[in-house]
Amino acid sequence: MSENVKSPTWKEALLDPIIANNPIMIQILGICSSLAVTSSMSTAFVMGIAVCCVCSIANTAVSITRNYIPGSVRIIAQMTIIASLVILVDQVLKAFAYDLSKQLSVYVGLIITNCIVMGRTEGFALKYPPVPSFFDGLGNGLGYMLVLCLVATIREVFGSGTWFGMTIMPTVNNGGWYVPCGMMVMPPCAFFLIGCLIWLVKTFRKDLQEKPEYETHQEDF
Amino acid sequence: MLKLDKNSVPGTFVIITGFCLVCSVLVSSAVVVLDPFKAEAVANDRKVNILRVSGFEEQGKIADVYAKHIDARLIKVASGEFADQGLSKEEVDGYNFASLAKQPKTSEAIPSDQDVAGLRNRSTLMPVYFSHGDDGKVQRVILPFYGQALWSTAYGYMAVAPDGNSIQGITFYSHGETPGLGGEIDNPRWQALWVGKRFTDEQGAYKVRITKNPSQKDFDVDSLSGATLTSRGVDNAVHYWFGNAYRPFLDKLRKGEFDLDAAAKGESK
Amino acid sequence: MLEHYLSLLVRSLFIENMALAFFLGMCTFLAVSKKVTTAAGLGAAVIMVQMLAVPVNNLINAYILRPDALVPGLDLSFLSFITYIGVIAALVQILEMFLDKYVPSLYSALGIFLPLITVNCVIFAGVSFMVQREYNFAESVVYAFGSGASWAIALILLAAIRERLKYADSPAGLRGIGLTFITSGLMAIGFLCFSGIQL
Repeated sequence: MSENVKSPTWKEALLDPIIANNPIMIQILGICSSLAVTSSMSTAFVMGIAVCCVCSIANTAVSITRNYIPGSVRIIAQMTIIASLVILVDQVLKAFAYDLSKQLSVYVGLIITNCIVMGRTEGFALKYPPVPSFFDGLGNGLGYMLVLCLVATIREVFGSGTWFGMTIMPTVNNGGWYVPCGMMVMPPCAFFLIGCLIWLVKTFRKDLQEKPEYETHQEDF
Repeated sequence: MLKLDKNSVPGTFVIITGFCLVCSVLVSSAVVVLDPFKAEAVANDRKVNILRVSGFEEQGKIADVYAKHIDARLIKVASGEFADQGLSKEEVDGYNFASLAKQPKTSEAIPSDQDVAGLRNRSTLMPVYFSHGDDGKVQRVILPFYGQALWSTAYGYMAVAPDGNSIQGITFYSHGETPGLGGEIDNPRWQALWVGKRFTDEQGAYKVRITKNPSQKDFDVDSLSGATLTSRGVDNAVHYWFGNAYRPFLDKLRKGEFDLDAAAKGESK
Repeated sequence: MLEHYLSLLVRSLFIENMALAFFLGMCTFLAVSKKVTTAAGLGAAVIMVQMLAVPVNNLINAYILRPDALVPGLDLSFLSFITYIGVIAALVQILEMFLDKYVPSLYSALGIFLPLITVNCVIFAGVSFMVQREYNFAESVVYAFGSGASWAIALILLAAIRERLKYADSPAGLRGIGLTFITSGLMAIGFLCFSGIQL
């Protein structure tokens, strides 16, 4: 829950978390769902949109009410806002995208405990006015969605030969030529992909690299 | 206007109560507004899947086609008799056997020697769907079934010919298997392998199975590559429901004990 | 009957491991796994909260939220998420106060982790799975222990590996969190071998 935005204009608030301060790759938040829903593009895309909505609206709502929320119960107050929004999203999905809501099952509910949403309301919206808060929420949601879609694209194209359910490479099961990489659809593969993406990012951004621990003897958790 | 310190105890209470009120009004109104859409989505999902196995899939608006070609009845699983007196058409149609199987009043325990699908309990009554053509003649009998696959319980429909023995279609409407591996049970090519298979041989012994080396043309379905355990789960589910639970009903079909066309319309008991 | 509970326990511990089969609670899993002792502390706290939250929510679900439970014809199940998270947050607060007052030694060991647990999705997911699979009360207690312990086991195992890994000469970009991802992936593959065990 780092505070990186010093004087947030809406543009900074929107763009910073998409690439430079991406919630998954740099802040390591919201990992659970990014591993579980990325085996196909459609679930990843819907999950991304859901998080965008929840995150931006929750940020706005918390920011509007930030001067009224008592400090002692602020976590519960934020939780109430987030949970209400997630229920709304869940109901809308059940009503208009029943198939997808079946596939996402409990993971829609898990947006409540997605640390991106909580982290942004706690770390940003409680301090700044509604407009930048809205864009900060949206930006973090989009940054999350970007990584989700990236991982899902790799997994779906190589794992099932499709993208958004459209056939890219016809698989042997369907009479085509492509033998799908079974590894890709297995959940552990998401770990490797995200691990490698982080490796890639950190190779180019040396400032983010961690120091080797056995030289510094840092004792922390 | 009441002045309150937001960090005092009464202030905290007032503010939080206000919060909860606003949120609850929002959530409740959304639920009330969306409820009809949700109910329709659930019913629609069921209808699409039933139409898929009945072979009437792409013939216009789902609700219309369904109303025209599908009739639902309830059967008492243990005896294979119809048992839907006193229930409305909608109640029979959307009979929620999965959650009723968990309630003692509406369920029966499955003897452990029969319980190959790992279900423990099942609903006493199960819905049966009859699909008929324009002439009103029943073409397929559609029976729901489910069982524990690898990651989740897989729910599906099986379409059986009026002879009570030949499979005419299979589909799954809910499962949590890995896409690309166990999830291939949704693949129409694999589902097509089931068509024409028979549950039992002439002597009445249960024979249909999923196997890696299909040798008997009438009974063996090729298993899914890379999904041995899901295949086994589906095999067990089919075995339990069509080798045990539905046996009395299927036997009645086989022997031609009731006039199917009249039964579908709810005219016989 | 005992056999049934035993199989549920083993199932929730290994086959349906919260961290390595369902990938839940990942943020804390990756962040708080540098030392075995802290990992053990957090693991114990999670088991404790899980064992409170799942059975309590089971009762709330059975007697209040389920259709027709409170008043015939009333279906409150749409309130599930908000109720569960509220109950979890409240339980964590109460547990914190209780430990602080009566078991200060345990509080000093677990205290810093307790607030973290409210937003740990293991608890919330445990409750959601319990509801989705319609466990009864006794099953929910067994499942709560199994699922909490499964996460704790995975966390301690990862911490043990990471304690050794810090002496490894890994590429600069991969050091730390990147390597942790890959380690967890390999562990998850290991846990895949439990899948499909029929009990």
